[in-house]
Amino acid sequence: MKIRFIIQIMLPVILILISEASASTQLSPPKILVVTSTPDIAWAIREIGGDRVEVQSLLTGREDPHFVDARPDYVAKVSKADVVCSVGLELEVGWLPKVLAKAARRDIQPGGKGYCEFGSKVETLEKPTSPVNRSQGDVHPAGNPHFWLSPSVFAKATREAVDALERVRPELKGAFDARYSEFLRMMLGLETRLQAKLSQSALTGANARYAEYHREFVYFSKSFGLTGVAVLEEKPGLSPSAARLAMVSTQLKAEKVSLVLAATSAPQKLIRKFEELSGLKVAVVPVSVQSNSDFESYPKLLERIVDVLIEASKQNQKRAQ
Amino acid sequence: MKILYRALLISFVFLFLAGSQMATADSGGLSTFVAVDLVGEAFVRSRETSSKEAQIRGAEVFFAAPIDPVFDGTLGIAAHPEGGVSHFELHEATISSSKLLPYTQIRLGQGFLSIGKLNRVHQHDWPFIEAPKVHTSFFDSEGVNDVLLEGTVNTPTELPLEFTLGVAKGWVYGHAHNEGKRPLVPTHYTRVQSFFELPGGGGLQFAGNYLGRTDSNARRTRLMGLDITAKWREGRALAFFLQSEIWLRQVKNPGVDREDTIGLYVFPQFNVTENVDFGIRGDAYSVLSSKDALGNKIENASSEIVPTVTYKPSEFSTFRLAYSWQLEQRGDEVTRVADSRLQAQITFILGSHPSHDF
Amino acid sequence: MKLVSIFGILAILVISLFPAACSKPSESKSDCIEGGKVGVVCFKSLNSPALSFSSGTINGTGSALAVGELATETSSGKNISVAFSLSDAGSLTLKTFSKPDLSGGVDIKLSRAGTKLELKFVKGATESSAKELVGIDASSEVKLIVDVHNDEDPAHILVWNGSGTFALETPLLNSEDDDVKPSGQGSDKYWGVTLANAKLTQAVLSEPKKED
Repeated sequence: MKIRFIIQIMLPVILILISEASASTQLSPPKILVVTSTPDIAWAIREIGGDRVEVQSLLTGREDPHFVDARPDYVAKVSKADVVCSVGLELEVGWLPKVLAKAARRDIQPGGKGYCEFGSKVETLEKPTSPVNRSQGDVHPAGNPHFWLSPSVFAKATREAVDALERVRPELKGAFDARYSEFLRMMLGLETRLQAKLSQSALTGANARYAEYHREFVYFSKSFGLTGVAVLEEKPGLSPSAARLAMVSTQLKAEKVSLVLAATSAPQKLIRKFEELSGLKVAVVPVSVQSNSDFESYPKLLERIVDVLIEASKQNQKRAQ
Repeated sequence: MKILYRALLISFVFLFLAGSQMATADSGGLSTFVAVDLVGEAFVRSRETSSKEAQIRGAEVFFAAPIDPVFDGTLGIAAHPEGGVSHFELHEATISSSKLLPYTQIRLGQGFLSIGKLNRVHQHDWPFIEAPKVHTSFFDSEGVNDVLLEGTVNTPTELPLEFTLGVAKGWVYGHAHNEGKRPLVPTHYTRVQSFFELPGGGGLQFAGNYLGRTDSNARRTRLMGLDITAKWREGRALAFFLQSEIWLRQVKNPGVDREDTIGLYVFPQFNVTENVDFGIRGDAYSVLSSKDALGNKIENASSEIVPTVTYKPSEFSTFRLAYSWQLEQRGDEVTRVADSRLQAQITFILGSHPSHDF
Repeated sequence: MKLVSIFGILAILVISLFPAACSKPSESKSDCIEGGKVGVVCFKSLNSPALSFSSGTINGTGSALAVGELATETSSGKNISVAFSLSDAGSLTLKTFSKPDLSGGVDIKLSRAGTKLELKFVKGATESSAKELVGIDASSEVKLIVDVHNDEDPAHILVWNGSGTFALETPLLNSEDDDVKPSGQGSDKYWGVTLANAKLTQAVLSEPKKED
């Protein structure tokens, strides 16, 4: 009687416990929490990681990543991350080191298994060949950091994030590698498609020359066959004087260059001033993915930039006629 | 001692220069910076004090580097004028780690206590020229600096929370010309900070602070304060900035009534052009427990208005002009302008300055 | 942003009006009925029948408490300019940063021995060694300018000759650089004088001459 009772009561309990145990082994492992400095690399990591990652960007894409404060909410986000990825090349040197130090997590410090720096995988352009000092402005000693505007360069740099994800979850190496291969194909395809679009527009030959407010279109122009001829900033990171704006304006008129690019984070008052002095219309474009916008993915961002350039070029031609 | 400090400074300058030459060899990750703070006054109208001649208020040499994979080290030496002669003093010599305990930074050595806002910021990085009275009176002209052990925890919570707990040797507090005496209760302090985002991409950081100590004469001091920092950026420019602190100090000497003092400052600042900011600071200060020898309460208040214009051609140099009006009120007497003066400041930084807190 | 900026401006306006807001006349019951004024400083006799107050002076032997505070904060500094004359072997003690009964402070005792003026620091029954204030003729009226920095431990005292041209860098005494120094700090913010066959003719308070 006792034995029967025990079996009748305990067996279901045991079965329930067994089913719970098996259910827990069937539960998917927790997602890898990734925090990135910019929304562009956040987008790339979402593409690679799929539903195995949960990605947050500290910046919204509306900021100038050179000039950001080490906010306490950034520290709170980073302190929970399994992986922290940055653009690198000293783009975030003014704030990210402080955020990482305050988060006080060993694995996500530079050199830790959860730290990744996209710029370490980039063959940088405009790397200074002589010693750098501040009289030259805010020069990045390791080269120009705005590489993410070139799909092919950006795609290769994303390998750094793949390596970090695989360090944190070695068992998912195969899956991440497969998605990365797909990602590479997609990005190269994007670049090819946009190159074709530009080649069919007026932005070819002599019309493919441009000036820019800050040297952030170097990689973009290399990928898409444009040629930068002037920079409004006399020295990187230093606001141009009225004399500088006038000088560039004169240069562009002499060289018959009418396309001028600036990021949305460039100082709008100075942009307006340049337009008054030069009579040229500056094409203001986003240079970063932004959530809740028309360019909340990288392909849409690049398409938007290309569309704005093509339209600006058309308008310039009309004005010239 | 002066010779020792001069020798130390010369050797550190040599190391700095040598280090910069050897940067490509093996600097061990050593980063160095030099900060110079030059101030002067003019057009002084004061019943009591005369204008300060232009002088180097501070010249600081600072070194920081990882010691090994676990620990980091800092060393900061500063020169300040006293009696017309520059005296070198140790500002900071700490060993710290953010890799021993998760979410926790531990700091041991000599440094400025992580309390309040101004006390945690180097003088050359202050957003105004002279400190408000609440700071010079409660913390000394530059800040409270001592041998300390401090831990800061940033909790991995949705709401950003930072807790700091520290204890300092406490033999001296604030201004002192000697080594002081062992306190009955060493200086101990805590700070709890949080943050929330504001519309338009801004942010507001606020914190509650407490500091206590009982010195060798059984004088018990308690400080309680709130500090607030708010910022909005537009690109490179700080479109709007607000910094404020309010403090209450209670001092109890044995056999004497407790002395309660309150002080605060509010400093809003607006960006005018790309490199020019305009701010105006308002200070107030009052000894709440003031009474005469017969026990009659004495109303008293000091206030100061300081409009300030700042020109920053880059983050490594600052040119600043301010005009200060001080008003005093004591008992029946209200002095509309007890002191007014034009102040000027130039600061510059050489080398790699560490990134700032919010 | 606008709300915060308005808050900031309002705060400044409030602060700037702070003294005006507090400017209602205090119901001061300070009186010199039981004492007298020396300059603008009102003194009250502390059980000292042998002390007389007349014509802006205090004369005789005894203690007088200044009705007003020496400073609003105990941990601060103040300057006291005094003029006095001493009978031979007489003394005047400045009792600074004291309790209202003139105990617990930094006491500076100035004594005459012939034409010499000597200074000692007194704490309760304990006296420091004496320091002669060179260049002072104690047989005639003495003028001294005294800084008391009670925000240091021990209190930092500087004494200058109040006659002639004031020379900040050459005090008669700087307790920081001298073997003669007070043994601690004052515990409250009141002050007064203790006279022994002395006459106080001037007492003026101001901010410290020496900035630390």
